[in-house]
Amino acid sequence: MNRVILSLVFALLLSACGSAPAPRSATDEAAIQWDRRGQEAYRRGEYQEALAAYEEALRRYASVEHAEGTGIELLNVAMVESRLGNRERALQVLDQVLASRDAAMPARFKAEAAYRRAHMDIEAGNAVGASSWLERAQGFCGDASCEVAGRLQNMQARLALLRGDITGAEAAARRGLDINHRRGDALEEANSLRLLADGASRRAQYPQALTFYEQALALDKSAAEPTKITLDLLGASRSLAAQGKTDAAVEYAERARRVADSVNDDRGREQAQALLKSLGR
Amino acid sequence: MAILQDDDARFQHLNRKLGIFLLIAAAGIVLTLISIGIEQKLFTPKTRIFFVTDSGRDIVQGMAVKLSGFNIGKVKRLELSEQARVRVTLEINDEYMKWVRKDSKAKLLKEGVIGDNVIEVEPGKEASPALAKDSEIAFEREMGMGQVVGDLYEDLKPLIKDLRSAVHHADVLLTDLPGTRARLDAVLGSAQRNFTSLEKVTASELPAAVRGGREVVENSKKVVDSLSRTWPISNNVEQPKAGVLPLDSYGTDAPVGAAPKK
Repeated sequence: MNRVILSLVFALLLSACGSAPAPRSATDEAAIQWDRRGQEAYRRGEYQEALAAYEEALRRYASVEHAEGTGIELLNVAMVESRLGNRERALQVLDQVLASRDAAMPARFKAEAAYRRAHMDIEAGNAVGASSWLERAQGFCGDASCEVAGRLQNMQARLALLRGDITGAEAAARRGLDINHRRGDALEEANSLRLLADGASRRAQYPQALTFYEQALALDKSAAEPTKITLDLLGASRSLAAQGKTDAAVEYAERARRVADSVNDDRGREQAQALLKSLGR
Repeated sequence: MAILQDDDARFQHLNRKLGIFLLIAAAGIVLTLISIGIEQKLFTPKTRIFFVTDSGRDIVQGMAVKLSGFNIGKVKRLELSEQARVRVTLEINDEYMKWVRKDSKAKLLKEGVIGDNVIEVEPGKEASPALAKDSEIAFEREMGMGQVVGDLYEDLKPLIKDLRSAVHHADVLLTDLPGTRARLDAVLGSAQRNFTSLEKVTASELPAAVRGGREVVENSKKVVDSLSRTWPISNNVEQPKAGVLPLDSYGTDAPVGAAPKK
């Protein structure tokens, strides 16, 4: 009986020693609620609604000079503007992060903003601009502990592949693979593997490419990312087709088409159909 | 040898006087007959034309033949042909033949609702040649009242049947109506009582219950918040926070499956 009482007293003392997180202000709570609404609308593809929610969250954070919250919401607003096709507006918002003289604005947000500018340039076909922004992002990032470091390596690999620098691409992809694996970022790890597979394909090392695609596929399946699963299956199918294994290639391509169909992924479906056609199906 | 003495001067030349009287009477009769004949247009020159029809029903000899309402002749004769068809000969006064042309048409129709049947000849076009003697004119029989009524009846028959069925259904519905109304009254009465009870509840008990519920929820939230901030629970409860939307480095980060709505 005494032991039980002693245990309870000990537990109470321990709980009293524990440090409770500081309670949030009503403004912070409201900003978080708006941010969550924005996330949900974005996932549904309702970008206009997402934009309104993120702008509301940004106003709340800005009203209390919450640097981290402001940085987050500026990045989100830029992302949604980009999705809405408002490229100029998205660039202006990213520039607000990059040009911020607020000492409280974490450098990781600037790194993230520079990474996003690089991303926009690469999507627009401006490889030179993308390289420049990538360098700036790496400058803000500093070391591999930076949140965006793994993605920067993968993007560097993409740019190298675009230039035809397969060696450089593979080196960057391997660095990215290492960083992303250590960070436990399965999706980016799969991206690194896919980039390695793309490089191996360029070298006509199809069995090695197939191995990388299979590894990426396993990670993407565990993360339940249908678009990426489609890409992995298509890559594997092409590797098999290049080795003359037509039946297996057709099987992978059909799997890719089924996955793309199930999520209305038009781009994936078109690629799968084109591949099947080239395989005589 | 005379039995009576012809002494009276009035009886002198009696035979001559009688002859003259008889002659005058006969002339009067002839003149009257001629007058009647002229009146009846017996001496008017006429042209015969004919038409052929399946039946001689409602056509009789002597029937008037009219054009624009005026008598222009009559039915002279009806004959049954070898093919069991009826040939009807019309006699038209020559003075009216100028309007009877090859494209003219004879119609059997009734003058008014209860009038006589007549043959009405429709005038032909001026460009059309005049109809020659003993030529055939086109004929048609206008629908009589009986036939009109008969056709109308045939058309109305299904409608009448439907109407009868509808009336039968209406009868059934009307028979059930008092019972339905009684049940509806009962339902409405019950609903009214329920609404009255509900109004009482909402007016008195519901606000208190809502207030109580809100207090319970707020208190529970406070307790849960306090607990979640207490070590070691706080280590296991993830606080909601704002986050940056991920941007994939491979370039396929748009949500798939949800059509973008701008």
